[in-house]
Amino acid sequence: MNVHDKHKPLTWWEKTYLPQILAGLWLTAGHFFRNMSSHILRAFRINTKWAGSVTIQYPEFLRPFFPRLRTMHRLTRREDGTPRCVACMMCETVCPAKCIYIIATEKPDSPLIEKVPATFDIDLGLCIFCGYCVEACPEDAIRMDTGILEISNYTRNGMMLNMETMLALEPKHERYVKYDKNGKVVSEDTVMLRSGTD
Amino acid sequence: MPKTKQPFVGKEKKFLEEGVYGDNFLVTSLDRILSWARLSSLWPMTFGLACCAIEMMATAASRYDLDRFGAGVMRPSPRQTDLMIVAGTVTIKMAERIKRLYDQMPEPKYVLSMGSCATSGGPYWQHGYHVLKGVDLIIPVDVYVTGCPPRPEALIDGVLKIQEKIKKESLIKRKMQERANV
Amino acid sequence: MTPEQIHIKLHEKFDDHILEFNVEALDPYVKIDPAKIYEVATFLRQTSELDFTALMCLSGMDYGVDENLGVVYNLHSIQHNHRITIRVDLSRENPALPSVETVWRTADWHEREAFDLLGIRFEGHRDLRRILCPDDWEGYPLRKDYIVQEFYKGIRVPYQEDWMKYETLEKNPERGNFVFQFESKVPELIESAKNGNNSDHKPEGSTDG
Repeated sequence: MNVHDKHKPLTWWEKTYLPQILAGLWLTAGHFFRNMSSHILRAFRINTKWAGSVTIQYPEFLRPFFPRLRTMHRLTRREDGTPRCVACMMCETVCPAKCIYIIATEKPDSPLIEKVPATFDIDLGLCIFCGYCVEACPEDAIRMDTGILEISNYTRNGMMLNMETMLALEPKHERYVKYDKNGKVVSEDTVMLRSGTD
Repeated sequence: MPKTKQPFVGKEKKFLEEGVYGDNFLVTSLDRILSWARLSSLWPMTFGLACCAIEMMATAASRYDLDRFGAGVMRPSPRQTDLMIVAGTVTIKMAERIKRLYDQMPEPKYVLSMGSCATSGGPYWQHGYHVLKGVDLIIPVDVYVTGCPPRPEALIDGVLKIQEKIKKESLIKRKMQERANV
Repeated sequence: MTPEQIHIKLHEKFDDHILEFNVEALDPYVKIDPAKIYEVATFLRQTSELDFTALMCLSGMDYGVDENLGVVYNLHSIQHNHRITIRVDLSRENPALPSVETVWRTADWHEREAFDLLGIRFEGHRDLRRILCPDDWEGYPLRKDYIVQEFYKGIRVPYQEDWMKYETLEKNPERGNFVFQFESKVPELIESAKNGNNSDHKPEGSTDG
C-alpha cells in the first residue's frame, strides 16, 4: 500500500460526503432488516444463520452466568441437618462493610463443636457482595451461589437476611441440555452449581 | 383573585364517604387505563453519581434494554420526568441539590434508590464523614435495589416493582382525597 | 544532579534555614523553616542548574495526635530529570506558612485541599476556601483528633445515634463488633518444646475427645 494514498484529494462527488452517509445508512438498514426478518422467522420456528439482536428479554429469559458469580448468601448444613457455622466471627471481622451480625451460643451435648450461632443477620442494604466472607470462612458454612440477583424491596428494613432464610435457600440448579445440529435434544442433565468443594 | 377549590358538600360528600365513586366500574376502568399508561411510560431522570451509573448505562444499552419497559427516555431535566433513579454514593454536599431537584419534579413522582450507597451509605456507613447514610434521609424512596453495583437484572426488577406499585394506585381516588382535605 | 548536590546548592544560599537533610529515606528530603518557603521555591524554580518547573504534589500531613502538622512538596525537573522533596513542619495550634501558588500554579487547588482537610493556612493565596467539603462544614476531617459533627443543616451525619461508641472501638454487647485482644501462647509452646518437656503440651481446660 502506498503511504501517500491516504492523503489523496477528494473528488467533487466525495466532497459532498454523500457516499459516506449512504454507506453508513446501508450498514444500519442492513442490520435492521436482517434482525427483523430473523425474529419474525424465529416466531415461525425457522432458525436463520443470523444472530439477530442481542437483547435478553429479562423476566422471561435469564442470562446464564458462571457459578462463581456472587449472589445472595446462604448457610450450609452438615449431613445431620445442623448448620456448619460455628460462630467463629471470621466473616464478621473481615467484612469490609461490617454488615454481618452474629451472636453465638453454646451447643449442648457436643464434645467437638462448642458454639453455634443464635442469630446470624446480614444487612443486605450495606453488603457490597465482595465475597470475603466466603473466603474467610474456615468451615465452608457461608456461600454465595444461590443465583438470586433480584434483591429489591419497598422498605429498608426488609433487606435483613436472618438465619432461617439463609438456611432454607438452595444453591442454583442449572439445566444443561445438549442439542445436535438439527436442534433435537441429545441429553439433559441437572447439575447443582457449586462454587468450591462439596 | 385566585379561584379557591370548594370542598365537597352534601350529596357529593356522602358519595365519597360511602365509596360510591370508588366502586363504580367506570372509575375503576379509567383508573386501570390511567395506571397502565403511567407505568408503561416511566421517564427516568438518571442521577448517576458514581459506579452505579455505569450499570445503569449498561441496563439502558442493548443487551438489557430498559426501553422495552417504556423507561428508555432518559431526561436530564427533572421537570420532564417522573422517576428519579439515584445511582451512586450521595455526599452531603450533593444532598441539598438532590432535594432541590426532587422538589422540581412534577407529581406523581417516584424514587428508586440504586445500590448499597444510596440505600444506606454502603461500606462508608461507619467512617465516611461526608457520606449521606441513605438517600431516604432527605427524600421519600419507593423501591430500594441493593447490590454493589446491582446487576442490570436487579435494576430491571426494581423498575418492575415500581410498575406494580403504580398499578395498585388510583389517580382518581387521590384527586378526590386532595379535594376532600382542602 | 544527585540530592547531595542539590542540597549543597541550597546550602550556599539558605544556610541557616535548612533544618535537616535526609538521604536514606525513600524520597530524599530537605527540611526547611516554614517562613522562608517562598524564597526557597523561587530559587529552586529559577536557578538554571536546578530548574524545578514541576511541582508534582503538595500534601498536607498530620504526623500523629501528639505530633506536628506538616506540608510536603514533591518537586521534579523535566529538563534535568532530577527530583527532590521539601518538608516543612508546622505547629498544631497555628499552622500557617506562605503560599507558593505564584511560583507553581498547580499549588492553587492542592493548597485549598490542605486547608480544607487539615486546616493549614496559606498566606498570600488568592482564594483560600474549602474545596471538597461544603463551605460551612465544622472542623478539619483528616486530622487525627477529628470527631465528626452530629448534624449538618438538619441531616444526621453519622449512621446512628450512639455512634460515639464505635468511634472509640469499644465492645458492644448487642452488635457483636469487637476487637480481638489475646495473648498468643505460641512462644510458650516453642520454649517448652525446646526444653524437651513433653508433659505440658496440652493447654489447660481441654476435655477428652
